[in-house]
Formats: sequence, C-alpha cells, structure tokens
Amino acid sequence: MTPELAVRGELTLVSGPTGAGKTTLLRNALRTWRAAHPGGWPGAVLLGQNPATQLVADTVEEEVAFALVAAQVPQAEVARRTARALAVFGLADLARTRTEALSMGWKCRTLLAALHALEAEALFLDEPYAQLDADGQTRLDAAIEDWLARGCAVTVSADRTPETIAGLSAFRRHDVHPETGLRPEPGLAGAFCDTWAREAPPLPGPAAVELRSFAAGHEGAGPVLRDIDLALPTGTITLVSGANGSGKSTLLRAVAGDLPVGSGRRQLFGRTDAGLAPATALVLQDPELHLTGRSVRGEIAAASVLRQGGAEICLRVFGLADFAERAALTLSHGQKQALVLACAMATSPRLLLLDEAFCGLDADALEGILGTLREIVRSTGLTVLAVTHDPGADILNFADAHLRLAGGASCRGVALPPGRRPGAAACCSGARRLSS
Amino acid sequence: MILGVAAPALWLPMLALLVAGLFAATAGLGPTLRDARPLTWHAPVLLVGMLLVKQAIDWGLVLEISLRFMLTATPIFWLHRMTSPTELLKLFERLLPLRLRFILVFTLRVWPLLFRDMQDILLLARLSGAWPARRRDIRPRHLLRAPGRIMLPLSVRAVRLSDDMARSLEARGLDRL
Repeated sequence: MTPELAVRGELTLVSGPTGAGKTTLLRNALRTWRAAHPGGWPGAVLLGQNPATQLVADTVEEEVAFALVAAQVPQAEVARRTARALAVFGLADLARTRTEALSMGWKCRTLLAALHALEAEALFLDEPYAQLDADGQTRLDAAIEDWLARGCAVTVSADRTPETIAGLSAFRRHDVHPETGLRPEPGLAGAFCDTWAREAPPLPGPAAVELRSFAAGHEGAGPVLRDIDLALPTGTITLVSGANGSGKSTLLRAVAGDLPVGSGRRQLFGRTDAGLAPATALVLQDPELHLTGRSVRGEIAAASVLRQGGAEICLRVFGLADFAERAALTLSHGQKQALVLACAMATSPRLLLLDEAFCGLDADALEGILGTLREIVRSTGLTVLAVTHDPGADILNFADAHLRLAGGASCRGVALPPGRRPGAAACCSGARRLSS
Repeated sequence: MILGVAAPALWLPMLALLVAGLFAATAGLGPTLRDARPLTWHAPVLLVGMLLVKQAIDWGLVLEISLRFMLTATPIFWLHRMTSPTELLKLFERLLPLRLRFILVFTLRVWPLLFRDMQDILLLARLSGAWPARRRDIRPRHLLRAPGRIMLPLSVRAVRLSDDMARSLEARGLDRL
C-alpha cells in the first residue's frame, strides 16, 4: 500500500489533519520498506511522535550511541558518528547532560541525532517539527538535505507543510484522508459558558497571577527561573514563548505550585501561598498523562463539574462528538490534545495553564479551539497562561500579551499583531507594556 | 541460620538496614528515600490482603514479607542509579543474549520514567482536588477515588511506557540484530 512513500533521494511529506492516520501510515511504510529490503542494518528507522517515552540511555551522548553500541559497531566508528550527529543537531555542549533533565524539544533533537548516527537508508519522521524551535527546525532542514544528498529516502509527517522543506526540488506531497479531522463547534461556546460551574469574577480584576523577583527550580538542582517579574490580569490570555530549554514548562509548574520557591513572591488571586494553585487546570505536554483509560465521553464526564448537560456540550464544542465512544487512548496525538483541553475546561477553572497544548492540532481544529477558548475567557473571566516554542500567527492572534523567555532569566514583552485588546497585558522586568 | 540467629524477624531488619545504609552511602540519602517511596505502596496492600485472608494481622509476618520485598526491589534502583544502560549492555555481553540484555535495560529504565510520571499524575490529581495537597488531609473519599484517578492512569502509563520504549528500539532496527 505504501512503498511509494519512501523513494531514495526524495523527501515525501505526509500531511493531513489531526487523526487522519499519518502515524499509522508511517509505521506501515516502515514495515513495507523493511519487507522489501531485508538485508543490512539498520535499513530504515522511525522517529515516534512522543520523545519523552523513547529515550533509553542516561545521557545525551549515550542515547545517540546506544544503538551503535548494541550493534557492536567498532568503538572508533561509534565515536566518529556520535560526535558528528551531536554537532549536526547542536547537542555538543549537552553531550553529558542527563536525558531526564532535557526539555521536550531537546529530547526530540537527541532522538533525531540518534537516528542520524545510524546512517540509515530510509528515515520516517513522525511530526518531527512539532517540538522543535526555530534553530532546531533549521538544523533538521540541513540534516534532511544531507540525508537526501546521500541518497536516503526521507518521509516526514506534519499537519502543515514546513516552509523550508517545501522549497526542496526532491519534495513530494502525500495527503491523507482530509475528512477525518476534529470538528470543533465554536458557535456552542456561549451555551457551554452557561453551564460553567464557577461564578465569573468582575472584569477587569486584580492580577490572577503575580510573580515578583521570583526564582524557582527543581529540588536538588539550581534555579531554572531567576528574577522573574510577571503579572497576569484576570480574564486575559498570556502567551510565553522561548527556545527549547528556556524554562517555559518550569514557569508553568512554578505558577501551579509544583516547584519550591527559591526566592521572591508568588501571589495567586491576591493570596500569597506556597502551596498548589487553587481552582487551576494544568495541561501537560504529554496528553496521555491526563487519561484514565476511559472512553472520550467518560474522560470528560469524570473531570466535569459543569452544570446539567455541560459535559455533552463540551464534547461538541471541542469537536470530539464523532469520537465520543472511542477509548481515549486509541485517539491520535492531536485528538488527545483536544480531549485534554476539553477535560481541563470541564473543571471550570479560574486559571488555565497550557504547556504546548496546541501541538498536533491541524489548522482548522486549532482555529476552532482557539476561538472557543477566547469566547470562554471573555464570558467567564478565566485567566490563561500558555507556553509554546512556536508562536504561529493563529496563536499570536489568540493572546492578549506575548512574552519571550530566554534562559529562564528574563521575560521580555513582544509586540502583538495590531488590533489586540488594550489593557490586557502582562509585564515582566525590563519589558515594556504591550498595549502602549 | 545466620550468625546463630534463626528467626528471620531478627536478621532481616539488620540486613535491610545494611543494604539501606550501603545504598544511602553510594547513591545519597535523598535518592534512597525517593526510590523507596513508591515501594511503600505494598504495605497497605499487604495489610488489607492479610485481613481478608486471615481475618487478623500477624505483624511479625508483615515485617518479614515487607522486608523481603524491599530487599528484592531496592537493588533494582541501586543498579539503575549506579550503572548506565550502555554499561549494562556491555557488562552482560558474554553472559546474556542481546534480547535478554535489552529486557534488563528496559526493566531498569522504566522505573525512573514511571516514577516521574507518577509525580505528574499526582500533581494533576492534586490540582483537580482528587487527591489532597498535604498527606495529613487524606480522607477515606480520597482513597476511594485513588484507584480511578491515580492507580489506573499509572497502570495504563506503565503499559504505554513499555510499549513506546520497545517501539523506539524496534524503530532503530535493534529488533533485527
């Protein structure tokens, strides 16, 4: 069915909406390739979608060399290939870093470097761009060109065409089942807000989240965040972007109260408290951590504190009605993301923390879900803090304020597209007010 | 009979202390306590099981079974903390076939990942109110909810982790060696 997906010296982009079957297609293509080319090792290799569960070694260097060592490749050759792969993906300085300590983007780079070191004949990469920042994407583009020049077959899945690889002469496109995506119904957002379990606070209110000279980090390690000043007004959406490993996820966990406060002050809804954030929903980067093994409808019902009928509207408003009876764990990555967002909203939180929550959503689903979230924020006074490594135009339009985090140490305001609501602004040390 | 003492209830605690001390001295006290924490789940299971089967609790037997379990499980963490997966692959090169070595690497690798995921699942349960933020606030209703909100996701996660890691190695062609 799929041998044409992988052609030597050519790049094939498998594109399609969330849940179209891109991952299944890539896995089948890998099997087909291996059946057709039984000799030689490793032959064809595949990068899975979730980097967090694919790492097997302790350090970055060991991870890149792991398969080569297992295959008993001569030591000098292992060293040569490992050093080259680390350099290609910008990992040379992190060679001895523990893989557990890496951010999702750096984990993805580590796995890409591990595949690069194998010098395979065919590479199948499932959504490799989704986790990478601009530098990582540029390095992957260069690596793809290198693989193509060596005569490799490269197959990449993505929900949209990355601009850079679309320019390659050996580029082919394979669209899959465009009719099977999520179908959010933002028109139902008003009805959904009527079932909201919490009274909306008056708008505009005091800061929902306030950090002053704030420093935090993981237990037993140095502070990842230093000298952060941040104020999120109630009923606003703040977007924090930054390169892979800049401390975005750590910032969210610190706001949620999961990390010990090193110094400074953290205030939530006017209360200074070192404990967990009250009435807060956190959406983690890996949606499977939220799932409890139920059906889609069951997951939402279990999380829901909405009034009568709210859970059913929630299903429709996030475009999940078509999958309501399916086991949640069998959904695609993007569908799981939409489900986890729906579950978070079904808890009627006052503060919503989103960690790369839009990864894997195709453009149409993303537009519908962002529109729904914006309407909910406007109607209920919900405060949203979202972090992303890739602030695309649609996500920028969604936010009231955009901050850039660099090296966990500074937060700088970034101008938003014209026409955003004035007054809704987050401010950080050394940053200008975004609305001015 | 060890050191002239026949009763396991006497020498097992001594052996456990010795192992714990050795572990703490090499890996550090913090990691030792962190690794031991997830293993403590066996205690309530053991007590409830004994109550159901024997309608009484034999504390001597509980201590013996518990220490045997800890003594069997703890070295896995120790081995993981002190040995990298690549070193393990090389270490058993002449003793075990490749597939068995991979299984060993998997066994060691899954534990810390599962522990990290358990912390995330607990965080989500705490934020949603399904589990209290402080241990002293645990009430019976929390224990009733725990299987659905903590244990079930954790079990699902354990299966998914093993599956994903196996796929990851397959995807690098290691199943073809």
